[in-house]
Amino acid sequence: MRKNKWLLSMVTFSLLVFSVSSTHPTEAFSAQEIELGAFGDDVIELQSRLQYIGLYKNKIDGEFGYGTYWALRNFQEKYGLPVDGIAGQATKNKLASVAKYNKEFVHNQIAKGNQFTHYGGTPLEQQVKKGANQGAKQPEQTQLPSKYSEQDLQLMANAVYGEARGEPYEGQVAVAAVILNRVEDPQFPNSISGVIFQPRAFTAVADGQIWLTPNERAKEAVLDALNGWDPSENALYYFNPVTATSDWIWGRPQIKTIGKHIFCD
Amino acid sequence: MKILSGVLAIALIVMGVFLYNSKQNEEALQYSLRSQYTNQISDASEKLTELQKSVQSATVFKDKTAQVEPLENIWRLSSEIKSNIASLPLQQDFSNEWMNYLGRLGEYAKLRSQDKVPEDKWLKVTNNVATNLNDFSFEWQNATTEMLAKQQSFSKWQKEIKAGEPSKTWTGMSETVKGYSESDFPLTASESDDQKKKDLKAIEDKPVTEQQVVKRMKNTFPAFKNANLVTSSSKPDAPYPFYHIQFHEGIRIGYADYTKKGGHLLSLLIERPIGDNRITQEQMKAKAEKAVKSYGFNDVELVETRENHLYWHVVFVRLSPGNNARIYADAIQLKLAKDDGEILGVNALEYIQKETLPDQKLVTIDWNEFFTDQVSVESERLGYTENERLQQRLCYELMVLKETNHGSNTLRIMIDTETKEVLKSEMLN
Repeated sequence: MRKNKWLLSMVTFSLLVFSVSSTHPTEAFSAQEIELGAFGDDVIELQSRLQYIGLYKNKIDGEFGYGTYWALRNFQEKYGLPVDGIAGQATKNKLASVAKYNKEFVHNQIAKGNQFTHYGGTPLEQQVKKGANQGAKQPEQTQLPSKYSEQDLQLMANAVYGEARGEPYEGQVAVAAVILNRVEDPQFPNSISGVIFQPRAFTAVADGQIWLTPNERAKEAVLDALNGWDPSENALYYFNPVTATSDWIWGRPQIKTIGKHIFCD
Repeated sequence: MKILSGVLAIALIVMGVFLYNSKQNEEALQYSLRSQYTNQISDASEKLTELQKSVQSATVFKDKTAQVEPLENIWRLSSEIKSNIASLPLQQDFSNEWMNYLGRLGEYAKLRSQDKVPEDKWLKVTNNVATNLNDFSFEWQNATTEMLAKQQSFSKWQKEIKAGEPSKTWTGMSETVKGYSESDFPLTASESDDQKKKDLKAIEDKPVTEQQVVKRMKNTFPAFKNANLVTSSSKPDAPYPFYHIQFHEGIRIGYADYTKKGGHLLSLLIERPIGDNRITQEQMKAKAEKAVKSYGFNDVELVETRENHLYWHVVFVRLSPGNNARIYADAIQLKLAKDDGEILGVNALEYIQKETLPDQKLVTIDWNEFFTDQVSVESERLGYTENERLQQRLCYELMVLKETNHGSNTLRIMIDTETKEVLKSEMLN
């Protein structure tokens, strides 16, 4: 009877362990698979663990770019896993078993905007770089098409907010698209800042409204334009017919009206 | 009464001091701007003289080594003058035309330095450019001297610019430069083709009615079957005619543009609040793949996904039927909500017209010979990209990895399969 009880408790314990391990395969990571293009806490953990075992040497920033991709493939190859560059369950389990992750340390450093690493075998306090920018709050990272930078996004968001904050979303994307169309056109400066700060090009620059803090909606509008959307249908100019004083702008071939703006070629 | 008078007197004095200070500050700012503009004008004038000399030199040498310096100077100076012009508040038409001309001149010199322009053509063009620049230089000196003189009354000059009433001098110069552009650098056939594609002027499909387009939109996006719609047409001067549909359905508000010829979807965007749920990347990709097929884009492949705070942006490109090469110029972008994967945007402007693809040889290249020992070629496939003459070329598309002790860099390199020319080298995040 005692033997049976012992056996029963062992079976119950095993079942419990099995059920826990099958529903939560690893305490690390969330359940989702992550791959190129992903962004967020799971990627931060992936990069940190890969760095712990010396396979990832780039910045821990939560963006699953090519640096993370090659490091992950090297890890999969090293541990005999299918080499696909995707962090699926088996890969994450193996990684969690061979590499540690100090979540608090990593997230603290990111929040503080510090330069840091997360290598195993070196005390963490020695892995925070003391530099001029230490502690400087970093702007929220955004994944952009490779030809654009975070600075481009910020500058355009300022311009869109200054020029069109009361306009419908479509109108804000269109204003951002006009800036990009000008960059591509040989008649205009060939950089985003050059186009925005070209004298007399934008009212928001002249009256200082470009320096207002843009909201999330303006940033989203710019992000859509940087990703290819152009509701202006290739326009190079726009104007508000109520406030426009130049005869010249009325002479441009008009394309469409969005909100209070007429977009022209 | 005495106290009141005293307070008023003090207030008047304070106001007077404030106004005086403001005036002084304004004047200081005007002087600063005046110095800056004068400096930019003088700089542009000096560079214009240098450019004239370089253009003359570039027509003198037959020897390729001797040609290198004047060609580089033309490219550099045209770019620098462009930058000067961009930072000056000149008449818009003139700035546009002059920057366009300089841009084309610089590019032409660059092409010549790469042996992509035959000598006889180069000589013919640069002789014209040299003559035109001499004439233009004379007009520029006159106009800028007049402009600098006007700065004696800075506010008057500012008013003149803001009023948008073009002065005859600058309008004349704008026309002159426009004429130079048309005679010296006419659009090449490939540029015209590219422009046609961009403008979608070349579509030869039959026109569709507004009702047909609305029906098509409701079929493609059944979620908006009962939406409130407002449909309008593009303006008569629009380079390509299209229908503009604005719609509103519950929490969703958006627009869709369709071409009038053929009723092709140009783009669609929907705005709605995003909830806290998150679908996985795998689910998102499946939804995106299913969506493009349901829109009738059956010859595309998903090539890129980008996750951000609330949305996913994904890119599909057309595959060439013969060799399965990716045609990057024929792309479609989708925007998906992160909470449930709903399609919130489609951009098919580049996909509507198929690129013309060349028949091209595939020359074998030994990558060990082509690249240094510091890099490794991680993958190789075929893809099309455009060269400097805006022609589509079949390329080896390589993912090249450079690893150092401090990290790794990945480059996507496109190499012409026939000429071995590197057409694109892009650093990936």
